[in-house]
Amino acid sequence: MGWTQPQNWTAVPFSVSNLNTQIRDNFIALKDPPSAVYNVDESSDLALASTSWADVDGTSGKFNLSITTNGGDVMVGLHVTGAVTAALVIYLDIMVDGVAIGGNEGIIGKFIGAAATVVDGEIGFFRIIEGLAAGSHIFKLRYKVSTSTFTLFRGAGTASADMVGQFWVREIS
Amino acid sequence: MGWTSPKTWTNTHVRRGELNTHLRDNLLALKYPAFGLYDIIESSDYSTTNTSFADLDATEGKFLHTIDVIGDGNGGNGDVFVCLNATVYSSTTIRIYFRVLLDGVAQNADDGLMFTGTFSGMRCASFLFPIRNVAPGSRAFKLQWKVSGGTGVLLARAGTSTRDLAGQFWVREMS
Amino acid sequence: MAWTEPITWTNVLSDASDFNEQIRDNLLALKQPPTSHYEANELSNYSTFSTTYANLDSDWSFSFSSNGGDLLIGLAACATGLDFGLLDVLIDSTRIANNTSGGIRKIVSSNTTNVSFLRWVRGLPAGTYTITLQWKNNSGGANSNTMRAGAGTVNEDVHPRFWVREVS
Repeated sequence: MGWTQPQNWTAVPFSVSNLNTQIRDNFIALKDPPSAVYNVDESSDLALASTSWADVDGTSGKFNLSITTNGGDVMVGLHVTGAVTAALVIYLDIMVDGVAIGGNEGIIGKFIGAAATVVDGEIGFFRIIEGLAAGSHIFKLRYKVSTSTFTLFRGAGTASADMVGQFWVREIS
Repeated sequence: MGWTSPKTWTNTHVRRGELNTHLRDNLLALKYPAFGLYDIIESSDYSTTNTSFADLDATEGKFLHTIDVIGDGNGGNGDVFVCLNATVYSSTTIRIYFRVLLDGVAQNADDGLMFTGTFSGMRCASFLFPIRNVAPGSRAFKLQWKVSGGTGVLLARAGTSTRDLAGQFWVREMS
Repeated sequence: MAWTEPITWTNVLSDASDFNEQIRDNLLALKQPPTSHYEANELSNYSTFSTTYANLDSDWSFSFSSNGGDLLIGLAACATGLDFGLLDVLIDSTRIANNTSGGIRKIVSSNTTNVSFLRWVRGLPAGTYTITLQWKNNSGGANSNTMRAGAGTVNEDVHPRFWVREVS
């Protein structure tokens, strides 16, 4: 069951299977499109220290989400919080089926300044990936830092930093 | 082809034209709503020194999207979502403010929808919000910005060393 | 207009009420999903010293009737939190972050900055829910958290929006 491109009706008497495909299945496809959401809630926070592009966490179902689409556009969203102990820039990108969509520095970047103490950084985006073919697609969050370490909070109970972020993908047409 | 207010059916002698209009076309209208998207990729980054709100780039398809809004499906007004996902930069400590215009009318009064906070270096400039009660028809959505002082830069994947980032600005009727 | 779970058609001798429910009403339900939205334009900004989660005020709380499915919850706002603060969303009696010391968005800067977020809540059963934006001051010290509310603060006169929409 999924989306079926609505047919041109050329004859009435129509069949039961027509009604089910064209009405039932298409409404359900619109009401409940392919989606995946990762609520970032783990037992420990995550240290991100690579100065070249790397997966944030390539574990399937985490910052690596797969959906089977009907063909069309997909929205990808992120909202997370982290901290640094030294000033740095963190860059983020999305890899779709193994291909990064951003520039040399990705799709979004943030400078987080720091004194000697932990400084918090919020980072997020909402991105539309257009015209994906019908089928299974993998969306991975990738990062790099300019220097030092960005600690990604993951709802791990860290004092004053028990933040539960989200990473998600959803077919929107 | 487009949206037609769903009819109230009064008998079961259904004509194929009715199924095409009320089922086929309306399903397609839901599946592919009015939508304008700009992948912010240019040969140079955008910059401003304006301390009053001004257009980033009013070229249709860039920071201006004119879309055909259906509305609520029954002749009434509808909702359109507006999203900016970008990275901004300043070499001095400033603020950058954003607002959205609908048909030339600011949808965010005073100092706009949001600002970056006082910063230097790079900062995310991301927001998504609904504009409600948008009348059916052709509607123009435009992004504007201003700075508190100095020069604000919106990165446009222009190859700037260590700042080669690709943002997005889009508007979409959300059913 | 309410959503009705699409039936499996078993014969073609349908009556008009079937077509109205299954086609007309469901198209309208998809076209006009439940949505709540508030844009602040207040005389004074919001502030809190509370070290436990509390509502910003009644305008930021919606009674929301869902057909069942997914919700998208969003905030576009600017705030400051010298002693840092936290934002979360309460759905009936459960906060989304559902932890004691954190939330879904931090207010951390000594100067006013963007504290926007977008959040999915998936698979909500059909029903009516109370959805409320909440916040707290994490340190409870001498400095409050302040959210700009279109109150005329010089160079910070922005109007925050909080919204909830059923998107499937």
